[in-house]
Amino acid sequence: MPPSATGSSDRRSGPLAGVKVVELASVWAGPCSAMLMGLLGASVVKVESVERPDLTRRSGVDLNSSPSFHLANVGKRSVALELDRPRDVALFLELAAEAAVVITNIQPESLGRKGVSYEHCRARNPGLVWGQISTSGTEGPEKHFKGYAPSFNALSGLSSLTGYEDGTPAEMRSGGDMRVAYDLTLLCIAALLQRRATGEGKFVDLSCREVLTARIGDQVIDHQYRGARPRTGNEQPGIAPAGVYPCANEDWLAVEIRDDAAWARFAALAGDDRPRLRDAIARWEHREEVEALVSGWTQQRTSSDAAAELQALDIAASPSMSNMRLAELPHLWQRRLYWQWDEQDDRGPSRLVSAPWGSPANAWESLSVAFEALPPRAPHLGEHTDEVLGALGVTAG
Amino acid sequence: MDTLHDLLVVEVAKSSLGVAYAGLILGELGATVVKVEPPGGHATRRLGPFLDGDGDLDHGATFVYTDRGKQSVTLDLDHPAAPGLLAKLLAKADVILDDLDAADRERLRMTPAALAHTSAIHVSLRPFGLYGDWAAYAATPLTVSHAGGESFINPSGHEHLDRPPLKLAGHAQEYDPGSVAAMLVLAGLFEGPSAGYRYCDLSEQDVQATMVRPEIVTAFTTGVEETRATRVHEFGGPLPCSDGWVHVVIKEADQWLGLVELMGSPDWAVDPRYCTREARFEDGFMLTHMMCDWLSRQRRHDLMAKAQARGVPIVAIETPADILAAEQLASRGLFQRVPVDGRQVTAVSPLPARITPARPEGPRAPRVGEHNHAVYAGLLGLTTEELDAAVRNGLI
Repeated sequence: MPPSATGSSDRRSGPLAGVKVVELASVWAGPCSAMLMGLLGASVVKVESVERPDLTRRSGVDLNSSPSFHLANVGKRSVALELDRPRDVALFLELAAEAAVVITNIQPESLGRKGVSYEHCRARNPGLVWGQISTSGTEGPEKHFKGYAPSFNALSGLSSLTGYEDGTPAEMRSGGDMRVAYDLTLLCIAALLQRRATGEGKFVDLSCREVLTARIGDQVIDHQYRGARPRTGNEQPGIAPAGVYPCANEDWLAVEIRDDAAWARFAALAGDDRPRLRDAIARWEHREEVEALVSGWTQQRTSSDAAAELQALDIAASPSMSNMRLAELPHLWQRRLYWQWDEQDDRGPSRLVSAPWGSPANAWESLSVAFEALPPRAPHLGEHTDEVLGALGVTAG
Repeated sequence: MDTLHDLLVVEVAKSSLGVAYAGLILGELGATVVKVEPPGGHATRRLGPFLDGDGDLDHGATFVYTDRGKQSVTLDLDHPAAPGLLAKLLAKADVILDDLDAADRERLRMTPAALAHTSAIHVSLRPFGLYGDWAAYAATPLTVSHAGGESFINPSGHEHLDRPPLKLAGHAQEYDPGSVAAMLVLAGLFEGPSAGYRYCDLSEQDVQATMVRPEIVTAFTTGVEETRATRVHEFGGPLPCSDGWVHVVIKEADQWLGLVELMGSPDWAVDPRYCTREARFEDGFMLTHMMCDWLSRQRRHDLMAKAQARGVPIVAIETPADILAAEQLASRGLFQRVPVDGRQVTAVSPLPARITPARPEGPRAPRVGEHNHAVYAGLLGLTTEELDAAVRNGLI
């Protein structure tokens, strides 16, 4: 397939170079997974409807510039298909016949009615890896469950365990989608490895709630040991101080001091060395006193100054970082966690979050080459329809 | 079949649960995973929580979850002879996972330059990575959790702004980077051994910051700080039922209409203007309050079933006890029975889809140094005399 005018081509660098991914997904988890595969070198075609554009496209001033669309769709090509039209269904089946992976969050029954289910696609491409996202999986008594990221967190057990000691289960609005995206990408690559050995494809039936349940696997076992436990907030059992303390500028500092030598350095810094707090076990026993001592010190300085003073003494401390602080943090720019395009480039936001494997310390040629050039911007709706379909030997209607 | 049959993964980590989780995932896919531990046992063994409070280093819930099925070899990484024996082990490894700081990495000859002659895929996981201004910062899982961004906006809501923001429960944010590390290893395996030695410097903070990708992009594009208070639903959220909690989120008009019908169409709810998100947001406090009276007479699992049957996204806020009893999860093969001290414990799979045959009877976690002979003699070819000497001088 020839490189297009926008610089996207089938010959991307990266460990997954040569892998063709077709994405039929909306909002964040599915698109982010396909984007991650693209950043690892795969060629990603996003199939979209012009009649019903993705929700994230509709949150900007026009269909092509919304930041919430760009953050999940960098590096892809967009093909506009209306899957209620037989001709476009046939074109989708052509694309899927050429693909190694299809990623979708549309339910199998709905895809089946349109004629673009896994079974339809597999008939022509038995080696196809199909990454299916749903709240609870596509089989079982709760297979039809509807939900959003906070619902996955609730169903998973994570919300019930997260929260203040005396409070309610936590309302968790973030993070769930990206955890799903990472795990789906992992599973699809594993299925590609299986395919290499067996020639067989795979229906990867990802359950979003299970992504989060895996993150509390130790507590599921602990429940069998000790029964139900209270929520514990920021507490670290047996360690004081370990918590998040108020600072002068109305924000918060996380501090944890585990050993007696580090506590002695803190006590000297704070000018308050109480003999009965010199021992770690005693500090846990008197943790309210310890917390008050630490809070008294943090409240007199900003979280940034406090963190710098403590880090100079090799004490673990960090401001509780907001989105604004992370966006400005030099360390993350040094690690190439962010992309910066030319401010004059008006195709979308000039700065975006990349993938967490761009460190300049890497020694992984294909991974690094993929990070040296900025990836193509998120595509305009249907931007690559002619190019992609042309390569299939058909022209768009 | 096992995806990673014949693959040898070696974990050289002092405390990172991300490394352990990556090893758990690769083991689940069929790899042989060797965990290098200090002769006194790995730090993960001491995390507990313990069965009947017994403190047995083989029984900690975290250790059983992350290290079941692995092989344990002991090696004192601070011993002068450690680099030599470790080099022999790493020479056999297809995958190397570590959490070492720069000094240990030099001393143990685990830098990319020292390993360049191998064809291993090597991922290291440090709190802030090994590159950048913060690389050498002191850190614990708690401080990294708050350095990552998601904790600052957790939990969502106006209620607790005078109290500190919260990390996620347990070790969730420590496992996340392990999932990314395992993904990179699989990508490297897909690329094949002809690509030679490959090294990736992963940072836990980087991985956590990607969890709040939308919020950081908001910072880039609007300069608006997201806080716990800016991240609220128009109405709903976690709400109490007669027997626990449910989570209510209503986005679409048909979901709202389904909920109204479910509640028996009370007068306060049938106002057609509440079909718009804007109106629900405006009157969110009142609507939530009115709904709570009805919710207090509902049982959470009955309500979840009734709501979901109408396409209304209400779910129960499940507890670990609910997880263990969930027919949905059992039917999907999520659970493994794992032996712990003569009894069976149920462990969940770290993978959210089964792509290898489910193994309802899982392997147990290893005892400290249980596989010293198999690995050092069987795999590396050390003689009995050499092994005895290594034990005598405290190397293993």
